[in-house]
Amino acid sequence: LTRDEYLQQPPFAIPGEAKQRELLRLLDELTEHHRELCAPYARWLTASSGLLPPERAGLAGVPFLPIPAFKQHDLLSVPRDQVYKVLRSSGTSGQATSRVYLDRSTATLQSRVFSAIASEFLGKKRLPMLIVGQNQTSSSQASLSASSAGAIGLASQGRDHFHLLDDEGRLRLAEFEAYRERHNGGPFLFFGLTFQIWTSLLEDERPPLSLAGSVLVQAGGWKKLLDRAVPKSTFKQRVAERLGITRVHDYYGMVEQVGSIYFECESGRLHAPSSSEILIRQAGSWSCLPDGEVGLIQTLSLLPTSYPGHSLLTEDRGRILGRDDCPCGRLGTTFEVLGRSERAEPRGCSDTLESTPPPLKGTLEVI
Amino acid sequence: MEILWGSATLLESGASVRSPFDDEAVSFLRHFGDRLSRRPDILRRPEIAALASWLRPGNLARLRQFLPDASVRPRGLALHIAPSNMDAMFIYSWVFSLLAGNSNIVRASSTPGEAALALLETLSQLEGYANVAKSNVILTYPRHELELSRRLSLLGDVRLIWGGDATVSTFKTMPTRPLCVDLVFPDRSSACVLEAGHVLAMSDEKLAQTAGLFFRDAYAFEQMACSSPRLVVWVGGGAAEASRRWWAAVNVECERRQRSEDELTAFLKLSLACSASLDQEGSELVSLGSSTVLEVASFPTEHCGGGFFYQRQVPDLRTALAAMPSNLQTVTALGFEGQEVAQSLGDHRVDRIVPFGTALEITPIWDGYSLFDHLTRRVEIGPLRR
Repeated sequence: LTRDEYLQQPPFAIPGEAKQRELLRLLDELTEHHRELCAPYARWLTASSGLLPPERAGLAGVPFLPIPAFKQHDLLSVPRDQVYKVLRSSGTSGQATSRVYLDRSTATLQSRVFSAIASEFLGKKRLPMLIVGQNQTSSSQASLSASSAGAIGLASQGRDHFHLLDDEGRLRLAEFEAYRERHNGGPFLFFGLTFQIWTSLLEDERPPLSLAGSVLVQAGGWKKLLDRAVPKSTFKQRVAERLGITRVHDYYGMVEQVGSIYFECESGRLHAPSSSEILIRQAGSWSCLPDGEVGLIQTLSLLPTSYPGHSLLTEDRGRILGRDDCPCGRLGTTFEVLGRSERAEPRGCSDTLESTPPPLKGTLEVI
Repeated sequence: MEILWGSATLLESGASVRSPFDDEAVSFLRHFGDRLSRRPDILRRPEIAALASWLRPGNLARLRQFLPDASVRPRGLALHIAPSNMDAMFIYSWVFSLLAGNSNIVRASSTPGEAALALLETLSQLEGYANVAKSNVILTYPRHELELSRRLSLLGDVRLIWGGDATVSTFKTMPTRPLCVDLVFPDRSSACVLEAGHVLAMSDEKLAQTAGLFFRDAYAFEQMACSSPRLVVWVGGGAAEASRRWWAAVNVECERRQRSEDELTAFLKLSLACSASLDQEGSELVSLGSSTVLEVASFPTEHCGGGFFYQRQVPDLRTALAAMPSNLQTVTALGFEGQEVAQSLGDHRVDRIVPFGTALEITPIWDGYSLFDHLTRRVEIGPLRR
């Protein structure tokens, strides 16, 4: 199979062994493609090949690039005049952002594959789409731009987009009622930042909204809620009680690998589709860990051809939950993300120490 | 503003000086060091163990020999702007000035680490030094409160400004008393130079011992101290083999000392190695783990600490030192005489050329300053009777 033929297949239907074999062959081709066309990437391959990856065969043997590489370097495997779109991660102020260069064919492939994956979880039908996040991009607050940005990745899965909050962050209740009526009460595709959904819709004293039958996709991670001692289960319970929504999907994805999205299924596991795979590496030795052990996530994707992003090492911690054995019936590797790795007490003679980079989860922005 | 130790009245009353190395100050410091060495709970922290032994009577007597001569007088009131991330540094800065006889205002970090808190706690338990407490104050306030920094700057007869380029620049813009002098400690980088043949000729035992000294230099503060080597230069033939032998020994030493590394540090080290190699043709990753080492053709400036080294191979010392950055502070060297290194440096700035294992030892000669010369003033006394 060519890469295109392979990617035409349904995303969760290829059994493990066949998937591994095809992925390896196609990823090896991508490594050679980028080695030839992206000189800095070729330098990294040469510099690291004596020690990395520690494994010499299989998917674990595919060379990987740590994600911060995209913050300091313009990495392209196409001539600049073929760049069609530049993706940027939304960092908090003062921090470097990633720049990811897409040509037309990578961009098209990304949205096609994204669509195929998303429809497996959200349904084939395009629903009217509700967004919790302000309808503006001028805000300097990273969380807001991340929410409107994340919506852009998902926006094509819905239609007639409606922003639930106004510029001041207030609920647009009257307008929403009109919108709801126009769509005969739903169901809707509902997208928002976890924390913002909590503060604007789920906290005590918030008016209940009837969104029964809708599906919620949330971005932005759990950290801010956990800081307020709100566990995932409480969040989901409130979503059911106050909004009438029982279908809630988390996802994992990054601007450096748009399209290769990992959705959370009905059983609460994140799924690697046929175009992607997850490896878990031990920090320091950088060896792959056995399933179930916690380490840093490496993510493989067949999509990037215009930039060398087919095999990336993230600073996110996670572990593999199973392979081809999820109760939801979808084939492929399942895993969970346990947040970003963190540093102990900083030290040094200089007062200006670099702080940790911005979160990768759910921060997609298109410029 | 929060007073952590000593007396705030100093801010109103101004300096009350004492003679350099007067008995009360020396006794106070001895007593302080003695207290620290009786606290096994905090002595396990390397910075506290080092300070406790630095305050021993023998070392205090050794420090006295750096005093220019008996005729010097203190400058008056010293303002210390301590770095925010080196927990014990505010004490060293203060001790030098206290021994010189000055009154002191020490601005400590507003986010003190465990070691700083333990030091302050120990200080507060010392009794019988009312005079010292009256003429010295350790205080803190958030770094962004520039108005306070401005007010304090107007009080000092000498300012010691630690904390890197940005802090130094900020304080330099603030007005001071006309006679005030500044001692500034901006960002610096440090290197080590190894003679390849020397390392190859070492016995395994000697190698392990030397790696232990290097560990002390490079890892005591997770390589974040500016005197810790970040750049490594191999001089002479056999460098590739010597480097393999060396880093293997360093990694063994790290393991023996049970150094542990958080995931983010490991990730940042690998990312930095990647970032530098994307830029430079011919770079090579030569070690992973506790010591992550990238061989390069020229030294980049980015650094993350935690055991990350850039390394180069050069034919001779002169070439080695030509490659060094302009803010070079400490060179630790192995297999050379100090004078050899100094001569080959020519006019390239370096402040310290010291043996392995002593990179972090703080002496009254620091960052190119003879500290006691600057913390005191000299009185010219001529023969008068005519």
